[in-house]
Amino acid sequence: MANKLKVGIVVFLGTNCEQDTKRACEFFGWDTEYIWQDDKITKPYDLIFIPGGFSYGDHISSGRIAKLSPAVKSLPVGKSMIVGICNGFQILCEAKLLSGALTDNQNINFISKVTDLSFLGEQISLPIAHHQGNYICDNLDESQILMTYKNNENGSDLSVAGLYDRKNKIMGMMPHPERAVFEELGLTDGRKVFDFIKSQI
Amino acid sequence: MKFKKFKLTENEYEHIKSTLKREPSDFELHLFSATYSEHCSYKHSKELLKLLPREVGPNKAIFYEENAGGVEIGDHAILFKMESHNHPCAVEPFNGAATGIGGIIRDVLAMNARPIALCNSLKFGSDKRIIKGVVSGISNYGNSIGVPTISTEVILDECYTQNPLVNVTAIGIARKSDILTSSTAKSGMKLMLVGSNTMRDGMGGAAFASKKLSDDPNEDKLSIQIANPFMKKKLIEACLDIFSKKLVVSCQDCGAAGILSSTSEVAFKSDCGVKIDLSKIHIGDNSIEDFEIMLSETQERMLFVVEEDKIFEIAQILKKFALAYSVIGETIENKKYVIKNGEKVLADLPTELLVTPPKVDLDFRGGIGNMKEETGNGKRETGGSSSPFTLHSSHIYEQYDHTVGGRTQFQPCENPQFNSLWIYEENCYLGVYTFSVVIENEPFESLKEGLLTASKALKELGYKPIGLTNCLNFANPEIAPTMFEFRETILAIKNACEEIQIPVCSGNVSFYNEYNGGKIKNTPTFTILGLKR
Repeated sequence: MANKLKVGIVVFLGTNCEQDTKRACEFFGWDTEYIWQDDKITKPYDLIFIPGGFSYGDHISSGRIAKLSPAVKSLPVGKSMIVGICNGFQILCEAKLLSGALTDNQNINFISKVTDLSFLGEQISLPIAHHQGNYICDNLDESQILMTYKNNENGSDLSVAGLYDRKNKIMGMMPHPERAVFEELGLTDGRKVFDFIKSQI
Repeated sequence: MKFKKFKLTENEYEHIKSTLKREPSDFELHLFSATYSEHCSYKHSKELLKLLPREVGPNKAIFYEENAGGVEIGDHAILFKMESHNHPCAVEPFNGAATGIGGIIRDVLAMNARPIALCNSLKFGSDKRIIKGVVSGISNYGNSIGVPTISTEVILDECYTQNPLVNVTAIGIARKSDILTSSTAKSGMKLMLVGSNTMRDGMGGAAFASKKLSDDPNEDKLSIQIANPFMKKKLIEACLDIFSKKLVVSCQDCGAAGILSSTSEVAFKSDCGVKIDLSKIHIGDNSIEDFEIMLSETQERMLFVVEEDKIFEIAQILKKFALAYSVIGETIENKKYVIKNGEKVLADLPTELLVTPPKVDLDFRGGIGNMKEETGNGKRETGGSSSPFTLHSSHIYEQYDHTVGGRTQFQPCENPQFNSLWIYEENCYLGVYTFSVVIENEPFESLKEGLLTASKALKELGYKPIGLTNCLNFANPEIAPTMFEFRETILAIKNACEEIQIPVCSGNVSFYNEYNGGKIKNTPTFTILGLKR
């Protein structure tokens, strides 16, 4: 059997999607472990997830404090594939590892629903669940757009739902592919996102 | 009269005095005012609740006398309970609703169960400020702590305008062999208080929940607790980590009447006593008075009973999660409840006296006057039908993260009141259905019909009913026909549960849902669980 993919999932105080992400990774047979916020990342992971949740309670603004943690400061940019989901995307933008910012949804409310997305030219459905998913960016390199909302629920510029900086191997997305992996839950389009992530390592 | 100041009855005061064979101190009376309140003592409902079936046919409830009762599924237990936070939501909807969730989550957590879902049942009148506040309170808190809100029931009726009903069910999962209870403390152990600094928020919350709402909502606001979901999330992860290492012997959350009720309950249920030193407690307000420390309902605190040699290891884990703690006292063999501040003894009471008020006379007269004087029918909001003002339940459930946790099977748009959780540990599905019965006519018949219909609905969806929890929202029990309708409700639940063959696993009673000039229609609410293999 080929070497298993080595995956690290960063966990902050207030993170709440680490278990879902780990279960999804294990479904694909990946070798997965958690990385605590206070630890420097030293291991040669193939892939590092920054999962969803409310790191540091979203105090001040989502991702604002998590970007200062030893784990984020020591992210092996350009070496490991780095994927931020929801709060992870917010943290990557705050840390300026992806361009732009995620602000309050246009309707000011939290939005939780399954939504249609365009992903690499294909239409897929994934859950979204966020309060600050309204993506804004002045000079976006449009080639970085990874996925867009079909109905732009939160008011994002260019309907951006996810980005991919191919050069630095950094990906960020508001939708939750890890919640759409298991047939038991009726949604499996998340597998397409995980397949693509794997193909980019 | 002194007892009136402490909201005690003359009978209760005399009972305390004659048992102690002395005058109780003011500090002690503050304690009794909380533990003898309806909210803590269930004095109007306790006897009747004993009628509820706990074992019916093949199905039995487990731990129904603990923080949250449950059912067994293989090697696991599903622990679940519904609670109300009606009065707090009337005066401060956002924090009222948020701390309602915080409270019920702690009940499940205290038993070493990971909370995996929340459901709610909301009854509103026409006050949009309350609706908006309650919904954003639930959204803000539940979403933050990463527990999905999988279903919601919304009923609109003018009778709830000033006294909304906010009932929340928390569902948790634990390995049967790892469940913690509040009844396993032994003498000579240490009491650790973990979490938030004790402050003056939520002062007298238990007493506040045990009377009708007053004219002055600003005064009532002192009884509101402040929600801190980030602290709660840290507490959840720290507790589950500590419990998994078997470092705690017994646990009780600090809910109504905070440190007082958590410590006295552990002592009483474990058949021992406690000795507490208030000077050891970590506080967040230097001007807080001794009795206020005892009664404060500051959120996000847990009480652990531990062996002394485990404190260091527990402290290391708490440090990782940046949580404070203090060792506030110890359990003692003598069944006494002793409170000191340094060397000064503030209270020295028999534990049993503290937690057991004398029996009250119940007024079961029914049908006084015309109990159907309110007009208008409870209108069930099912996502788009007309209502007194525009309120679509999609506006509400779309603000709740219902998919976090990776167990939720359905989108709420299909049926907001029903959902199903994937219990991957046991390779099965747990159907969860939440509904209310607004009592407008004959209580017994409408309750029984409501329960049988719900059970039938679950069966039609392919789920075998296995247990239920309830929240019984009623008006002032001292005024007829509240107790009559309450007794009819209990008898109907008993009768229906025996027919459906499911036990009542847990529950909550909320009396005094009244305000100046009106009262709610009595409204029992249920969450019924079904199993699909």
